[in-house]
Amino acid sequence: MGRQRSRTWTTCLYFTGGHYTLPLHLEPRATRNLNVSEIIQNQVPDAEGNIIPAGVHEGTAKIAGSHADNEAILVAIGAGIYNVRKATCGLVCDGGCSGYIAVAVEISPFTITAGGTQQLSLVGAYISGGKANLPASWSSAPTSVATVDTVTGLVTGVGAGLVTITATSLSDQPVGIGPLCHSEVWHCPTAKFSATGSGTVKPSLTSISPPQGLVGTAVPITISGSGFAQGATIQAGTSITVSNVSVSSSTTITATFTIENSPGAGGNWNVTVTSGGQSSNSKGFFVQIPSSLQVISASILPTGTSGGYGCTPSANFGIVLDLKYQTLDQRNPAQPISNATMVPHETANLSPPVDQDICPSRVSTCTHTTAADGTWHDAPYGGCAAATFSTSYTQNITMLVGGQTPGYAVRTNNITLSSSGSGHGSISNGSDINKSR
Amino acid sequence: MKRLVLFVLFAFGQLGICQQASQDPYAEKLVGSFVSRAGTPIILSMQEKALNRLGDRAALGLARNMGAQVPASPQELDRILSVVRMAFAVPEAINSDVDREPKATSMLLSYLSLLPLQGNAKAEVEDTRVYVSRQIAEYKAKQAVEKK
Repeated sequence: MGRQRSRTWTTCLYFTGGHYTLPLHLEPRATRNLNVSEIIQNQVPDAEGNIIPAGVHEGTAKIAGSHADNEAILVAIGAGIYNVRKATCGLVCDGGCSGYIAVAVEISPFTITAGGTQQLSLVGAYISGGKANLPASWSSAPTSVATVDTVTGLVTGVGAGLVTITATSLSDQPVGIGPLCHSEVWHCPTAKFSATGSGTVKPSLTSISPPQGLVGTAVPITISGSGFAQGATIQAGTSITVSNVSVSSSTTITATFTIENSPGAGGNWNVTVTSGGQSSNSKGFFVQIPSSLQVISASILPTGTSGGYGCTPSANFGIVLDLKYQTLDQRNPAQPISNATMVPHETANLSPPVDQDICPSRVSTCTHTTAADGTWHDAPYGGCAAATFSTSYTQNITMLVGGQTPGYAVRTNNITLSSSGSGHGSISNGSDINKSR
Repeated sequence: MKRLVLFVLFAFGQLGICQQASQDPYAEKLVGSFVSRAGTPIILSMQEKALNRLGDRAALGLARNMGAQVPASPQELDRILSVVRMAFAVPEAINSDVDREPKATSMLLSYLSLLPLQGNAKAEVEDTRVYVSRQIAEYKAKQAVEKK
């Protein structure tokens, strides 16, 4: 009885209204007697606390290995009969093959990214309703989309597309069939099983560099990820036109994002890559709108001679500043905007009205070139006279992008400028510009 | 409909700026505001920048502003000369290459030097001529070096 090693079996006795489980240890080729009548008489609970009521006279017995269905056993049963009242089979055996009735690749269908992995299994379904993994050999097609470990069934995505995975059980497995009644020792039939599964490998997008761009500009971008193939396309939203798409490698795409020059283009746009008919995950690309100016510093320009920087000695009443601004976007907290194509422009309610670009000027720091941190200078800033004075005006600053007017409003300065004596002056906008000399 | 309204507003915005330039191509109002100011003239940096970008156009604006009039006082002459100096104070800021050539400016300064001016007015006119010439010469020399 059993194969050539000791085993612990489980004998389950079923009767109307319950069951009773009895562990049974057998050495190879050993024989054990099972006295059901004694079990009923002793009324000893099993591991689950079940007992067989004394009135039970009819039932079935099932023997299973410790690994349940996932273990082939060879067993011969000699029926010891004690006061049998009813038998449903012959004297030798009443049983069936608790083998497999179907196999399938699990998980199928599956979805992974290029470079990603997915563990698959060849799962057999037993006639009893149980399931277990089968050792199998694995293959994939096409391998340009995904490969599979021939032993473990671990799938690795290679390129975007669809893939078919085939698994074949490594050895003959017993086939599950219904009840058998034989008068002699019998064997379950066996077969090798195969099954296929399908999967999708999607391109993966990990980063966009730079992750942001200024409204109204053309931004060369580099997309990093995996699973990119020639012919890949990029989707970036209705306000962004994508051009010059070039697949440098399976992990890099370059392109140009041309951003519409309108306030509606501002904000976050989801970017995806489509390759091999599959769309990637999305990554955000933020379109910056110039929204405010932060005063970084306000330095008083010293009195100079003609062509100098501050007030001249002949008109040394008043004050002239070098204002350093940082252009910020619409986020909270706002982030600096660095872009050389952005032109600070000012209007003022003077007579005649001022409507001009802020730079260049006689102060060399005043340029349209925005530094990497988004800073630039408005200089000279203020006014001078040859006698005491007091004046006020309103300056509105906009940022022109791509030469288009009107620009994006970023600041209004309500300036009060005065001088109470030679060498003295004060300027204020009532908030972050307050300087006197 | 919304698009149409925005377009119309935009078109008017453009028109406003164009009109300003086309209606006063020589910045006559700007230079006039410096020359004819009563009391203490305040030179605001924003207006100074506008003058810095005029170059030779400032002389045309001054001529149109003066008309047949001659400077009524030494102070008015000073203001005229101050405008000329500011117009050539930053040659690289002048809007066009044509306006970096002080042709009208030379004619204006020659005209002013012929007027029966008092005191050292003639010397101031001459100083202004020298200043303008030096500014342009230095700019051209700088440009030549940068080209090399």
